[in-house]
Amino acid sequence: MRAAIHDRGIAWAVAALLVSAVSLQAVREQVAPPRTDVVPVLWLQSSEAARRLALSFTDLAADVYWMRAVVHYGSERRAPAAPGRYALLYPLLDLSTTLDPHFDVAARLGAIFLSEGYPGGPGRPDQALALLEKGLKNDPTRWQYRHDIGFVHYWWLKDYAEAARQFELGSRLPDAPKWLRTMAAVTLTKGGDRAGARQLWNELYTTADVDWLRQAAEFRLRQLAALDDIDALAAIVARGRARAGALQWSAFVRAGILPAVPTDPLGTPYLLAADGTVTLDPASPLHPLPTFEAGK
Amino acid sequence: MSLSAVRKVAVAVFKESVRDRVPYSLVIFAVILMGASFLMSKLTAGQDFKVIKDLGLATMNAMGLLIAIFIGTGLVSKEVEKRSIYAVLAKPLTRASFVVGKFAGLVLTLAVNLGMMTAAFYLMLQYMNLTTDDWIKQGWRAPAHDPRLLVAIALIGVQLTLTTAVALFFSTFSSPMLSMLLTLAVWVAGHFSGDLRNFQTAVDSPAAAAIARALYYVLPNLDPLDVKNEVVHGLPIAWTSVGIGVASIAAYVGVLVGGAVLVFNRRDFK
Amino acid sequence: MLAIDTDGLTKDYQIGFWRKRPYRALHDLTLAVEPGDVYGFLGPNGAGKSTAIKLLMQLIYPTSGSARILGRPVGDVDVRRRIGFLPENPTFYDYLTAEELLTYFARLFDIPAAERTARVARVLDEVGIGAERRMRLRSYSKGMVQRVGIAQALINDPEVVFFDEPMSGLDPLGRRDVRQLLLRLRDRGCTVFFSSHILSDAETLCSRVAIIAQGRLAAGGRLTDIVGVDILGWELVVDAAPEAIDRARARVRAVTPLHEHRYTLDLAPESPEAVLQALTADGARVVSLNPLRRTLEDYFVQHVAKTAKREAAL
Repeated sequence: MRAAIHDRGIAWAVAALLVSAVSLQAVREQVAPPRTDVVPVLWLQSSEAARRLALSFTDLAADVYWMRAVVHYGSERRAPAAPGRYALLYPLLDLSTTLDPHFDVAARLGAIFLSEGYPGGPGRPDQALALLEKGLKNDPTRWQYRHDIGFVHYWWLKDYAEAARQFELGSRLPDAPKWLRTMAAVTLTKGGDRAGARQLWNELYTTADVDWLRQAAEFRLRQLAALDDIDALAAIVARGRARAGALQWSAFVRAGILPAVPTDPLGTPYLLAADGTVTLDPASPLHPLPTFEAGK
Repeated sequence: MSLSAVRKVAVAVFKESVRDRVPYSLVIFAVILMGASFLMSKLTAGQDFKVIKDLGLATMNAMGLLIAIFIGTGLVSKEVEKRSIYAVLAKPLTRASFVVGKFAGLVLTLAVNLGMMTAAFYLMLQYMNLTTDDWIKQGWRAPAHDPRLLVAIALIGVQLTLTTAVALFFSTFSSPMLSMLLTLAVWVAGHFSGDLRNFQTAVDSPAAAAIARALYYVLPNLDPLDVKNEVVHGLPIAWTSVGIGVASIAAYVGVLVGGAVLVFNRRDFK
Repeated sequence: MLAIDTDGLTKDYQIGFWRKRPYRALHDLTLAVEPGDVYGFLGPNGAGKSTAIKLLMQLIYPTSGSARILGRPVGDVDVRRRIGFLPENPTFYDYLTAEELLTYFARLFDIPAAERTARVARVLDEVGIGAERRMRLRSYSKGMVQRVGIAQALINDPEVVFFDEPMSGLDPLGRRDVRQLLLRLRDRGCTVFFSSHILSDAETLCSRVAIIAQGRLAAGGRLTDIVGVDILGWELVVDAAPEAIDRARARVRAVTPLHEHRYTLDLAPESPEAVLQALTADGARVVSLNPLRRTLEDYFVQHVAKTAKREAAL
């Protein structure tokens, strides 16, 4: 009898302790929640050290850093603008590609998203090139690296001659697709050209084998379409402003010149300025549109 | 030493493991893979096949390593400690047959374990394969249920055989805890061999570099047997290097098992 | 051909951590066991009995000397097909059932499959393991494990069996069973070599004994020679009045009161009838009259003490 009571007492004490432990957690959340604004620290800065520590599990470690890079990019994208954004993207991708020297997709992600300026990325095409060149050293016959290096030079560094050279080198590698050679030619002749850009991005879009690459290409194609739209709309505005009467889209619609308020490929209406210029709404996700200038 | 005695002891070891351990490790493996695949697709940005393959191979490697070290170091020492060895050694089998039989039994256990994990692995890959769009597959450097994965797994098996031999050897004369640490140390050193070889670039002392170089030649080199990266990325396997690696590991296994037999033959079981 | 013979078997252990000193566990053991003997290897705890048996089973190696079983040197693997061994306080594989353990051992003896099952069943019956034979050894009591140990020593119908403390862990019923089993083995012509520190068992079972103390063979020989048939005296238990006892005191060697008018009287070996008649005439009632012979225990104590004195003198 006494033993049973004793046990019951212990059981109640255990339950009470459990409740208090859980409540303390809740209290902590209220009073002193863990800080979320602190930039996560990368404990292992040296990729060589990481490679040594991972021993037989380097591939898995590379995957872990890859996933951290993906998550980091995603969360930075959504976070409000702050200095030092995307700070870990390059180190994480660098660790990943050192641990797995053949992890080409990681370098290729870097090519697209490291090069891009704010808000889409840190604007570091030099880091992108570093990753790609490292990949090329380990896999010299992989044409995708040459393609991506050429692309960085073309799209972000505006170095059309170098871009064409890389495309050309890539086209000579085994299994290289035929359009790479075409791209070399196009870059050389129509480097600063929107049509050339459309051709390049279109190739990337149709041949992309990963989701995010395809989406990135699609995004660019939409931007190019918006540029085309703006040119076309500018011409229409110039021709029809007299008939419309006012420099407002509604006037043009009422005048039957346009069927509806023109929107960009993502559905945001274009802006019609007082001087008759058509621009993209800065609120549109397609903002800022790429510019084309004569090649360096 | 008679092969039939070795076989009988090996089968006994295998049966013991079937009763105790094989089902658990398989369940853990399956749970890890399935759990990982659920969590993954959001995080891998299209790399889920690479990650699943890496994870599957790494898990097989890790679990096999745990089995080899923990069970390997207890193979002989547990029997000696518990004194169950007295009755067995009074039977018509040599001490050598006993030791080799124990070793063979654990290797057999590991092989069956790996086999079952491989089957689960391929099933998982096939399931993922069926739920993936074709346009994604065109960019793959290696197919989903790549038969070359079997090569990587077989070589993991070879590494585990060596680890078992190391564990067995140490356990014939040292305590289980020390044996585990030493076995782990040899496994780690086996993967550091590249660094040992190039030690002179890291330190200034030529004496240290010479020692490191000597260690590199003496210790088993596990790096050539690691083809996981090549298989997952569809790269060619350096068959010559692998062949030499396997032959050298086989030699080490012979040395270690032979050494274990020698030590065991001379021991007094008080 | 002798069943077992040893020649100057000596075992030194190195003890101590830094400076190792040799500790002599067995000194120059020479003995011979004839086929069909039930040979009792007796001695106090720590005398070296287990050391000797382990040397015979080649679980440990001798520092010097040699031993043979059935004419073959002790390390010979083939001769092990004809012997059985029960270790002291045996342990086996917990996760196996008794049947499985015996089947495994039967396999090691290359007993063919058909015969295996029958033999395993027979030997388990013989040691008194019933339906528990299908339960794992993990759940067995000490006595049951001991029985399994005996069973595995007999699975191959051996010619020579070595039992190290066969009665250990058994209750009185179990000990009786084992005694009867040992006698059955003797009747079958099996040579039984067993070590024990329980002398009463040896007295009933053995044809020969060896007494070992502090690593040395203190004495040994045929039991009948040692124990002898001579009557050394009589033990008489009577119920009598104290006065009657006093009157008889002169004719007896010793008087020990038990309780309530009951006394034990130690009589000289020559005809006790005279004392008996005198006491009964005096009103005493006889409870029991037993002859006193030299026991194995007397012999044992005498020789062990002698060895101890000799060692102390050295």
